[in-house]
Amino acid sequence: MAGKGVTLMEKQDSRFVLCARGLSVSFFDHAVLRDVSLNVPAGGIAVLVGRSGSGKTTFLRSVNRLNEEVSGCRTEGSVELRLPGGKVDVWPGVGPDAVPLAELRRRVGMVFQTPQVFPVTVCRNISVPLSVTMGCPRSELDDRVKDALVRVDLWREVADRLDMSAERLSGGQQQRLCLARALALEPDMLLLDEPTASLDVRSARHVEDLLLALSEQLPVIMVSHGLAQSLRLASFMAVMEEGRLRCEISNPDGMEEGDLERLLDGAEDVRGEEAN
Amino acid sequence: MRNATSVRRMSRSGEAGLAMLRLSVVLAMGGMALLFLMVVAFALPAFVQNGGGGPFSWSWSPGHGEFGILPMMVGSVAVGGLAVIPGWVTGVCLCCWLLSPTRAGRPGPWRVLVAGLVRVMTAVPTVVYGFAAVFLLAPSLRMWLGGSGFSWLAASVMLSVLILPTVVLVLQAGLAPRLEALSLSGVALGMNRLELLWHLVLPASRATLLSAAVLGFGRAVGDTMLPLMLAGNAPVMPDSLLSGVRTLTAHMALVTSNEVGGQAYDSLFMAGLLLLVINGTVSLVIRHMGGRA
Ligand SMILES: Nc1ncnc2c1ncn2[C@@H]1O[C@H](COP(=O)(O)OP(=O)(O)OP(=O)(O)O)[C@@H](O)[C@H]1O
Ligand SMILES: [Mg+2]
Repeated sequence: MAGKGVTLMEKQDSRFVLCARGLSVSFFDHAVLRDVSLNVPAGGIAVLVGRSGSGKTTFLRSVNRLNEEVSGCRTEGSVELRLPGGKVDVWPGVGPDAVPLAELRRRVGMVFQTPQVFPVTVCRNISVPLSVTMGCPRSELDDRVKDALVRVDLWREVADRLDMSAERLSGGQQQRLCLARALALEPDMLLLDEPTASLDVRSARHVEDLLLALSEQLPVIMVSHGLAQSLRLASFMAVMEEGRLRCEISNPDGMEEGDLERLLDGAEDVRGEEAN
Repeated sequence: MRNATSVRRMSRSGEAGLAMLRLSVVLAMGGMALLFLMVVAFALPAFVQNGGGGPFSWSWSPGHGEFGILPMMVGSVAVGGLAVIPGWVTGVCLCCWLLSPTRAGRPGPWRVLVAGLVRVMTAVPTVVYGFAAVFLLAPSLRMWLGGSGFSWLAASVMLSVLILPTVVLVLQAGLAPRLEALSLSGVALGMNRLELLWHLVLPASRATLLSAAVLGFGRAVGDTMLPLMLAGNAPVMPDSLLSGVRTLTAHMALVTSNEVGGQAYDSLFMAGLLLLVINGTVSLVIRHMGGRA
C-alpha cells in the first residue's frame, strides 16, 4: 500500500508543491504534530484551518524549519518541496536535494501571525535582508524596495515616508510591509500565518486580494481562522485537529461556512476523504 | 464593616510602604547632595587662592609650594580615553559573539564558558589585575618597547581589561532583548543572528552603545589601584605612550597616604571635583553626540 503510494507520487511529481510524510514535532516531549502526512497540490492558495492550538503554526514552521530555532524541538518524518527552482529536501535535509538553511528560508518566505517589522526605517526593513541574503548591489536596492512596496500596494502610502521608523506604520501597513519584505527576496513559495489576524475588515480584504493575485505567481500556503475567508481564498484546504490532519478538502468550491464549522467541530464528512 | 476595616488596614500598609520609598529617596538624594556640597565647599578655597602654585597650574612640587593638578587631570583623561577605546571595541565584538550562537537557545560550550568568565571578571578585585600586570605586562613592555614598563600604555591596557565585563554586561542587557524580539522573523528571512545584530540591532541601539562607553570610561577614570600600580605616577604631562603619568585618583591616593592637612591636602578636594567634572562632561558630550547623529 505504502509502496504504491510512493510510485504514484513520483509519477505526479509536479502536481504537489509540498509533501509531508509522517511529520511529528514535539517540544520538550510534548507532541504538537503527530504523524501528519499531507500533499499540498500546486496552484492556488492552500489553507490550513483548525481550532486554536491544533498545530497549524507549527506545521507551517516545519516547512521553513523555523521550529528548530525554538529550544526543545524534535522533528521526525520528512518534508519535501517541489519548487519552481527544483525539488528541495526540507527535512531531514541530508539528501542531494537539501539546501543550506539560510537559502531555504530565503526561498520560502514567511509572514507571521502578528506583524514583525524591524525597528528601523521602512526602507531598511526591505533593503537590509535584500543586501544581506541576496548580496543585492547598493545601486539596485532603491528600485527593488520600490518594486516590493508597489507589489503589496503600499508604495502610495509610504513613498514619502521611507525614512520613517517602520514601527510607526499602522498594523495593516506593517503586515503589508512584512509581505513586501518577504516578496523582495524573490521567494519560490509563501507561508502565511494568519496574515490578516491583526487587521480590520477592509485591510484584511485588501490583503486577501493581494494574496489571490500573488497565488497566480507562486505557491501560497496560509493558516486562517476565518471560515469565510478560508472559503473565499482556498483552492485546497487541510483541517487540523490536536496535531493530526483531520481531513483534506481538495475542492472547497461550493462549500458553506456551516459545513466547515461542522467539520471543525468533529463531525465526519465524506468530502474529507478525497485526496489521500 | 469588617471589609471597611481591612481595606483601611491595607491602605495603611500602603501608606507605610510609600513613606519608606520616600524616605529612601530623601536619604539617597540627601547623601548625594551632601557629598557634592562637601567637595565643592572644600574645593572652594583653592578657587579663591590666586597667584602661582594653585591647583590650576601645570606643576606639582609641594617642596616649592606648587600644587598644580592639571597634569593629573590630563593623565586621567589620557589613561581613561586610551583604555575605553579598545575596551569598548572588544566589548562590542565579544557581546556580538556571545549573542549569536548558530542555533538559537543553544549556546555552545565555548559561549557558556566565556559568558561565565566575563561574569567572574566583574568580581576580580582590581588589585589582582594590577599585581598580575606588575609581574607580566610591565616587564614585557620593558623588554619589547624599552622604558621602565610602568607607563600610560600599561595602565590603559589593564584598565581596558578591567572595564571589559562592564561594557559586555551593559551591552548584553540592552541588546539581547532587542535581538530576541526580531530573531525569529529575521531568521525566517534567511539571515543569521550575527547579521541581524550587525545590520538591525546595533544601528537601533545607539543609546545602549553609548551608555556602555560612558560607563566604561567612568570606571576607567575612577579606578585607583591600576593607575597607581602601573602608570609610573610621574606628575607630569605624558609625552609618549611609554612615559609615566599620574591620574587624579592615583594622585589622591598618594597624597592622602602621605599628608594630613596643608595645601597639598586641600588640593585633593579640587582633584575630586575635577574627577566629577570630567565624568559628567564626557557623559554629556557623548550623549549629546549620540542624540545629534
Ligand atoms: N515553542 C513551543 N514550546 C512548547 N509548546 C509549544 C511551542 N510552540 C507551540 N507549542 C504548543 O503546540 C501547540 C500547537 O501550537 P501552534 O502554535 O502550532 O497552534 P496553532 O494551531 O497555530 O494555534 P493558533 O490558531 O492559536 O495560532 C500548542 O498547544 C502550543 O502550546
Ligand atoms: Mg498559530
